[in-house]
Amino acid sequence: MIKAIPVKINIRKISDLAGVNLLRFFIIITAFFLISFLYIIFSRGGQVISWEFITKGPVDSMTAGGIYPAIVGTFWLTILSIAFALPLGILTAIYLVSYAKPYWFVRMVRIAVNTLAGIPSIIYGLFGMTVFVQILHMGVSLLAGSLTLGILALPVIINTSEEAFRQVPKSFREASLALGATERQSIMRVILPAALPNILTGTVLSIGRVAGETAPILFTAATFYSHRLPKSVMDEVMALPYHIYALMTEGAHPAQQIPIAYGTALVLLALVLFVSTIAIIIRYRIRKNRKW
Amino acid sequence: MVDNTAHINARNLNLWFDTKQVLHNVNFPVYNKKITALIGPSGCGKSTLLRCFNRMNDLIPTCHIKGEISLYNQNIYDNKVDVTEIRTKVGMVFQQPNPFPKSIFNNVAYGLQLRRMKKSRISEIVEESLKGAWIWDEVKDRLNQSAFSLSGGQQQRLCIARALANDPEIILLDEPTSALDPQSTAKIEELCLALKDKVTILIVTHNIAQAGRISDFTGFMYLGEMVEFAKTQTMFTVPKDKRTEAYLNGVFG
Repeated sequence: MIKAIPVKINIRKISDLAGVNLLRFFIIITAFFLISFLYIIFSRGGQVISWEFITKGPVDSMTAGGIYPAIVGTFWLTILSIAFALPLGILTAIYLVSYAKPYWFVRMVRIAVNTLAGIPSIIYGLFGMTVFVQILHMGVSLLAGSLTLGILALPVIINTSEEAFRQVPKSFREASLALGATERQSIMRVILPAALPNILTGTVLSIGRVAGETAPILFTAATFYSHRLPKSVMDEVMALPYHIYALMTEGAHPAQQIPIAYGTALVLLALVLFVSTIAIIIRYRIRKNRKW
Repeated sequence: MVDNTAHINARNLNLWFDTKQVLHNVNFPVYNKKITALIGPSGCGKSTLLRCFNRMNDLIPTCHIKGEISLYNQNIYDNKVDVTEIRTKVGMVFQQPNPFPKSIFNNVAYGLQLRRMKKSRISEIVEESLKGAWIWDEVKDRLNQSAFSLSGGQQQRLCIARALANDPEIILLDEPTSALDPQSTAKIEELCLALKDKVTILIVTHNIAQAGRISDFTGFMYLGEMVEFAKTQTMFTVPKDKRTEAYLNGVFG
């Protein structure tokens, strides 16, 4: 006869139950912050969103009108900074993974990259102002801001690219070399394409970061108010995060400005989400055919 | 054991990883259009020896080699030799099927694309190579599909086709069937026998029966030494060395 397992409440069961509920509690707290965050942005910013808001420039000292120039400015700042940082980051990662022997030089590069990643963004702003704006005579411009943001994005792109390259099976490289390919051919034709989806993931993260940064563009690219759109990379630009900052700290009509600031935040969120979605779709398309 | 009538010879080959010597003064011939098998217990250095023939050991920074491997009277370890050139003449198929994450067509075309061959010529060679590796009928309608859509055995034949496309003098097979089911294994073995009309084959296997079934010559390796090299039939019936006899009888493995 099989003995019935005695049912009794013991310490292990109680602590197990308590543990699970504790985890649930933490999840609820996290969700609460996330939901209330979205609620506040939407409830306060939603009212000002209109077609005019995203297609017109600001009027009446920023108490009315739209934020179109800031959208355009942030769009170009993001695109240009990624266009600068992505090739540079990928090439650095290729060197670190494929060619560099573990000598002091490579260790130095790694330490430099990781230190760069930890530097507060306002310091990037100061650096960009000194080097790009002043020494290289770019002035406060889209170009100077993009380069500053690019340097900010560089560590993340290098690290994720390096990781992506390391995740590519070694057998691909071996197979390629065994067919008479050079190291460079193997990288360009096999390893880079295989690593690309994961590199894109890192890029998506960088896009979110770059689009939302205020401090690096504060002294290098951003202007408080501009009637016209940038005509060249040497023009100053309005940018969404800086526009929020300006609306909240300057001007004489906070009652009208604050809803616009929240509306701008909403647009910034939507823009980042939009760009990320595009990158995710591209990544999904590439990954669909890649199984190993 | 060097035989100058053979097209390929290993002569006084010594190999170290760091300070550990893995190959000790290995000499043996690889005869033209024959199958030569390398057998021996795990860790005896047979795969390392195989990888000397297309200089894949160059990828390991701690590895250094003394001695020579002559391929048609050219020492492939000569400083003047172009390694990529050697690797097109000496094809390799690995233990795990390792197709590229590309289409079936582009896997086979890879070596040709590296040398910027004309597209029309590439298509011809891809077809020939796939036929040569007995996989054409299975893939001819889906050349643009991912190579990963194939089964393990098909992938391994695709890898053989990929090596054949380079028109190599010799193909190195590194335990090519150890990751495959018995049916796929049988097919690869038959394929090897068919291929030896066109190409020299050097195969590493831990499957003694496989060496017996397909090879013309066998080298038995033990602790980094080539203990015995002979015609397969001779070795399997009257092995000279006690260690060979013990291994063939399954005393150790």
